[in-house]
Amino acid sequence: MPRYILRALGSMPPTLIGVLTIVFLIVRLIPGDPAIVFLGDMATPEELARVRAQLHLNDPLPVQYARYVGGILRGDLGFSLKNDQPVARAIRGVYPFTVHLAVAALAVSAVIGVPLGVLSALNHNRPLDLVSMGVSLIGVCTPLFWLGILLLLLFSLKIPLFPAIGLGDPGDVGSYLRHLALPAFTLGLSTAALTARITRSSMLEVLGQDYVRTARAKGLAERLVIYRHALRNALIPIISIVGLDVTRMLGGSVIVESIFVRPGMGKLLVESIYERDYPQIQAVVLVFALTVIVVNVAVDMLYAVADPKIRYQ
Amino acid sequence: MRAGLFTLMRRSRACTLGGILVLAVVLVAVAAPVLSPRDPVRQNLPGALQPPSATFLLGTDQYGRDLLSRIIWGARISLLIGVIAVILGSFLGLLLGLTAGFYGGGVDRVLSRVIDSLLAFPGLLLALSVMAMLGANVGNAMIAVGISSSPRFARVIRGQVLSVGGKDFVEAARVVGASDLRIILRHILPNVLSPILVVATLGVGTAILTEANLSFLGLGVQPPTPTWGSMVSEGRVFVGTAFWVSLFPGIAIALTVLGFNLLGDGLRDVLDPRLRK
Repeated sequence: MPRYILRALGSMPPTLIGVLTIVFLIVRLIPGDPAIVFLGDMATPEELARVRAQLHLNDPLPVQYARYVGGILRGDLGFSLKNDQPVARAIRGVYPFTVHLAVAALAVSAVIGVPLGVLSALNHNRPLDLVSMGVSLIGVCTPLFWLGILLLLLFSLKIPLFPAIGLGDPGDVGSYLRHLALPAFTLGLSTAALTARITRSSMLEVLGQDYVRTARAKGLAERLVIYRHALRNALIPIISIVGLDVTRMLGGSVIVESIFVRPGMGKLLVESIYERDYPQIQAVVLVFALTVIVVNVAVDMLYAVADPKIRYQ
Repeated sequence: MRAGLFTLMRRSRACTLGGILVLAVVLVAVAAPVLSPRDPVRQNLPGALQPPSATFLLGTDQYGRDLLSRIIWGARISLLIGVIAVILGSFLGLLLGLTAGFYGGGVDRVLSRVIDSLLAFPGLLLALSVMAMLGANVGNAMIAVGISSSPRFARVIRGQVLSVGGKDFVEAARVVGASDLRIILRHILPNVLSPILVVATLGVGTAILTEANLSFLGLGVQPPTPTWGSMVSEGRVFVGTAFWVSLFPGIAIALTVLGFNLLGDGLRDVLDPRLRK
């Protein structure tokens, strides 16, 4: 197996252990007796004893930790206190919807952000550059929930182009995509702003390189210089921000799924918090973090594939 | 040096514009009792959802409360949580980053993994988890947002300490027998303050956004305390008929975050000689 793949995979286990430990400790942050916090002050001593036994809260901390990690390794994410079912079942039901949302948003971000960044770099310090970077700066500062509400107002209530809320019929591709459009645009637009800024700086750096000057000097058409020589190399650093984008999008899914009443991991997390279903909160947060780790390792590998300098280090 | 920095800041367009925006928000927050035309929590149900007019410059919300007054008082909460969360986040980040960067070796490897692990959680998720465990109130919102911002500080500080730690003046201090604490406080810390200042300024904007997200989800500061995020959230139910309820608090958040981002970007350009034109 190539060394860069081993290197990327090798970074996973320590981070995984760290993530598991943090998620385990999150519930231990609760001041006082977690069982009382879970069930409320009105819980009977029997109910409290049942929850303490169910969550093994009477065991010493290292035993609890070992049991928790062992359970995760066997695919046991815990048991929902409110829904009375394994948490993994609830997560399996909604995880694909969040993945679809993140992938669609990533596409929106790339389709808008990359051309905007390229256009800015090609018009460096001209009005077009200032306008597009100004727009992208505003995009970075705009709260996601506000953007979602504005898009919902404009493209669903005022101009009824897209459905306002819900998932549509997952069996009907057209209906599903129409319901996905506004949430994906909301999430994608907010990330496109960052993608545009990074594309611009990467493109500006590449445009100043000797090989671009050589390409121009040998009389190559400007279009070819930009697309064949500059953009291909400028896109390499952009791959590295995909991991960052996915992290932002998973965080953003909490907001977007709440605005558009769309089932998904984010909405499940918020519902779990409202219901104080701590095992489910732990499990959802863990799955979010594991997704980020896997995506980042995949991005590291992709980066090495795209950039020979990394591959042969 | 200080006069020089201020002059450089004034020459930077980003710094000037960002500084003006931040100063305006700070002034509004400080002078809220004087500037606010009405009581921000007093309800007036017959006057609910009135559009902007000469009487109510930004209109009223579903309880007839004056939106302008609520936005003015909301600036206090946003700034307070943003600034204190960043102080807390940078303190935690300093502890982690300084220790990892200064001691290196095994300590660095372990702490770097802790930082990487924390970075695997989207910031909002980390803040949400902490709020879920501690409960929703102003103090816990500061702690939650602060903890969620700490890994970014830690990463930047560790990198800076690594680069400063190998410099001759640090070696010289070691040779003359200075203690670790003295080297850190007298020689390393002053040299890593500039990047911390930049990250902290940018961090206030992010912290304000995170707090607004928490409030929007109903998991931040609780009603009737006016916060910009909860105002947008309350207004979304009426967005088809009374768009102003959500619109104006959203603009307030965006302008404040824009101010801190411009100031942070400008400071980075001013403090980094390579970026200075």
